Amino acid sequence: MEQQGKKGLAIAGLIFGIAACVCCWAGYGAIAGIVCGIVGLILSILAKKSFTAIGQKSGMATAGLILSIVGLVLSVVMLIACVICVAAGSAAADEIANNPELQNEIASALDQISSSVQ
Amino acid sequence: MFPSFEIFGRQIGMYGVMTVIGFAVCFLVGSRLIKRFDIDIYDFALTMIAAVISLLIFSCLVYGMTHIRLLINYFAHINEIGVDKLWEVLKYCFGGIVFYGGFIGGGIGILVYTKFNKSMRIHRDHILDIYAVLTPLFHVFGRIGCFLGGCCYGVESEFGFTVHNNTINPAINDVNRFPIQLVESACNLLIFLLLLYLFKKSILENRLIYIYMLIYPVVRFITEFFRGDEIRGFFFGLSTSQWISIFLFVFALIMLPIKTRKMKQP
Repeated sequence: MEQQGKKGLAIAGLIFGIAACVCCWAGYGAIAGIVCGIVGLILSILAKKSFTAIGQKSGMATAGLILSIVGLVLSVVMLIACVICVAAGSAAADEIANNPELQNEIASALDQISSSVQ
Repeated sequence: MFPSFEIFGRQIGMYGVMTVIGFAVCFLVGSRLIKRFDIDIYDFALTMIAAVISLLIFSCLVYGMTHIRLLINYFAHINEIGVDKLWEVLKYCFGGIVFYGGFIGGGIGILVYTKFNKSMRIHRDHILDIYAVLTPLFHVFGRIGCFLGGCCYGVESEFGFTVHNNTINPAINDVNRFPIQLVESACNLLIFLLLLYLFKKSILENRLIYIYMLIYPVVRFITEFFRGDEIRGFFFGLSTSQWISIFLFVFALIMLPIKTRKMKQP
């Protein structure tokens, strides 16, 4: 029973790892890729840890671990552009925030901001 | 400088690449450092994952705090602007990271994980020591990523580099700027080497996190004056990062003698 549970963790880790690899290619789906990658990584590590404790090897847990790492790395690389490191264009946004009279212009300003973030 | 490149028609940001390299190097160095305390590699990996999750959340939250006025204004006029803009507003306001937010978040993540994981509870201070050593190492790569991406740039200067046609950060273009990212990267490398030396020699054991909080904020406080991207929030003439630097420095100054006294008690 105990071993089945550990195998279940390995299978779940493998599924999440595959999901992370798939999601990372889908634009903002990379966010889902990061989440799946982290969950897959945690499950695969727990599975590997339990198998190591009883002196066994698990190819499925290893595969899940590798796929989760690959999916996570690809998702992070796809998602992060340096533009998110600083508030590029936030001067304009702050100006809008400080002038409530410019409400009509906020919508178009946000469109510009969103396109610059993408 | 070199913000992105293309593979199979997809733009790959250099900052993301440097982030991944930084994490990988930190994990490799960390996996060697844990041997002294006989910590299981899987336990260490799980602790690091907890730290990274917390790091991401806090760095985005602190970034969002710098846009708090925009958020308040949006929600105050949500009927006029439209709910459909909510995702764009949130993406803009929380779509960035702040180093200090990440550092504090990572620390909190470690504290929470070691609190609830029985096998790691006894290693809390050891992990915090390793975290203190690895943080400047990761920052070395992060700042190189900033330099390549063209963000976090320096003031206009005769000495430095001129960037052309950077589409991600157009503000940097065609102006000769001081490479403050590389200076900060070099400073972080020195801090890393110093902390690694202290770690290896077991000097100031279990207190390296406070040593880091005494050194890096001073460096950051000074380098902030050479930053050219004046869009990081200013209060009373100091940037948000400088205020956080002061807070962390004072915190470490108070906590270091308290921790030392605690360790001397039987």
